[in-house]
Amino acid sequence: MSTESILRIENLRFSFMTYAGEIQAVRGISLEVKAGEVLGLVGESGCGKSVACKSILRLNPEDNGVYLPGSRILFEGKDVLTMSERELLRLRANDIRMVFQDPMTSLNPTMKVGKQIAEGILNAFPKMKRREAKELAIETLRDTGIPNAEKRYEQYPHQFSGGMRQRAMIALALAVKPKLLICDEPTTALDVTLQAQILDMLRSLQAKYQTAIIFITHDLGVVANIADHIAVMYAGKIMEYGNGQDIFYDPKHPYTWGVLQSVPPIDADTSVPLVPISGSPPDLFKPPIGCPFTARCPHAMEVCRQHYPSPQQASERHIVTCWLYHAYAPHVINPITNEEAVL
Amino acid sequence: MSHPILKVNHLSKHFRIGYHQRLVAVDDISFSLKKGDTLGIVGESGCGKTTLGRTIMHIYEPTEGTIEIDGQLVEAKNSKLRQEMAHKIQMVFQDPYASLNPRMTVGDIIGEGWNYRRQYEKAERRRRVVELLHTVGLNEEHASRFPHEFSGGQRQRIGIARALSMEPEILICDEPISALDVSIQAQVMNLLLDLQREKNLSYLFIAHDLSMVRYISTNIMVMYLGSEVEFGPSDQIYHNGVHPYTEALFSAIVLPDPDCDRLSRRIMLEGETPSPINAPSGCKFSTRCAYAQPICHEKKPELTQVADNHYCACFFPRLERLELNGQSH
Repeated sequence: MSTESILRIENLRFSFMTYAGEIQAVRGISLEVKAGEVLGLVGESGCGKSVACKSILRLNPEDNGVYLPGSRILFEGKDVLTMSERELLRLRANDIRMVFQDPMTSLNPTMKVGKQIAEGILNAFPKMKRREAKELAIETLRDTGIPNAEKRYEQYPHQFSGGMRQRAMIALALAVKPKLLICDEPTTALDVTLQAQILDMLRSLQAKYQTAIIFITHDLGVVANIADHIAVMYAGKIMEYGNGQDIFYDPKHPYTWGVLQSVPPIDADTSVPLVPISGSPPDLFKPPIGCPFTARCPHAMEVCRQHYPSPQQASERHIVTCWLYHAYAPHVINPITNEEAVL
Repeated sequence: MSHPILKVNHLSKHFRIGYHQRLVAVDDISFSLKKGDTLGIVGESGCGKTTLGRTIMHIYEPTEGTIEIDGQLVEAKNSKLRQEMAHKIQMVFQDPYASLNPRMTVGDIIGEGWNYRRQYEKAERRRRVVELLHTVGLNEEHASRFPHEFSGGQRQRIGIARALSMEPEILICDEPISALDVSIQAQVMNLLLDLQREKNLSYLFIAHDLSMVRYISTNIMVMYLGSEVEFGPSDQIYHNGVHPYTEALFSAIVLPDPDCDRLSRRIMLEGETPSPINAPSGCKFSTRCAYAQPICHEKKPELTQVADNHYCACFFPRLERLELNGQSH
């Protein structure tokens, strides 16, 4: 795996301007995606994970939303936020493709599935012949595990079942061999057996096409299975970033502890009660000045209310944003490892 | 052995589609639920688990079969008895946004059932509403608010309070946590478990989150295309299900654990679930089953006992998995 980074997000802030006021959906996130790696973005609904990813393609509404000054999204060194409309079209056609949660509303119901894929290919490579585009489309459909790809090419989306439609969406995205694929909860609407099929297929195609993937989900199981690195988001900010081992076996942030304790233990007996996080996420109209998790955090201190903590490095690529690791902070027990929480 | 609080015998529900076609949503299901127990019902979407819950509630009239609550037969057409029995069985719905009337206050929503039973005077009603709100972890002041002022988790608590207002013995929970975030799911789950302990409730827990179902259930019933394919104690089903479909379904769970690389041991089912309008003949799973023999396509397997309190509808159950004793996974 090469180590050059293809996407670098620096201090991204995006707000929706509504009649009721400013909703600060994304409140300063910095991320890096290296070529060929899978980044998992997890968080509860409304934490800003979808808005953050749509920003990469500039898909957020810009008539009632605004990227706050200082935000930068560098794709291969070029800032997406200052690109012209022409450059953006090229970026969306060739380099970064997106798969959405609901395949029924993201495929055109009046157009044959194959034609939609071929259209995407011709947009990306205008010099390609129609016949070649069709062949490439059929080949990609076959790659995503659709049987009878030639026949399916001529069918409409309503003739596809839910799982097949999601496969077609992935084929549509991957046909142009993009450098980055953004998957926004692609398996949330599917049953477990179909989810397993799709995850398996994505993993093998990722290895074959060497595409970097940003995978948005709220399901910890899914992210554990597919992601190399994981960013845990809460209220528009990144709480913790690390690889799968870091996040699941040695998490540092109290929010990550809380989320991991809220799911049933894998093999422990069922008499152990779940430990929920009390309360609910903050209002993004008036986000707290300090750490947004303060109100729900069992280890909250006075400083958490007043000041947002600076990121602390636990290891080279394991970063946690929490005051607990300050020199003056009290010592607490990490409930996942049952040892004292240290960096 | 205590007698079951809910007994369902050969229950079927068919829907007519057009003139000649029938959708068999629930096909000959029998089970019994003991007091204080939880029966988890799992299966993919479209397998009939919600229809089963609704038919037991008599939201749909059963096509065939009987339902006994607390030893008493609830005849579909006997409306008086049904009204009397209605308070014993209540339902918590999946969508906390669609299941609460937006034009009623929370207090009115919780107390609505009492109108029909002509129960309680104003002061008593007020006292009981507050008591119920406290039971589900809300406050007195919430009674005069409207549903739109609450978050998803709080709405689900209101739905639970409404169900509890009738002092039921059985609660049918139709995917009560699917619409909630992980951290809120655990709150609602703990509430349901506390209530069960406190009031000795019996739950019929319908869900597709398999690890949550295993966590809350005493027994699990696995459904496929309207039929019951396996029934047994939850740990047994989770680890050593003997029906090929159970095995495949539970192997598809993705665990929040990066080391447990289950993808390699995953049993991939071929194709997708057939339509329940023209379900395959014989065993309904035979079209996708890796172990299918000619007989599977011709005859329908009966539900037979494979171990203590463990039943399976298959001609070739994977009995060797019973010896695994929970090591597999």
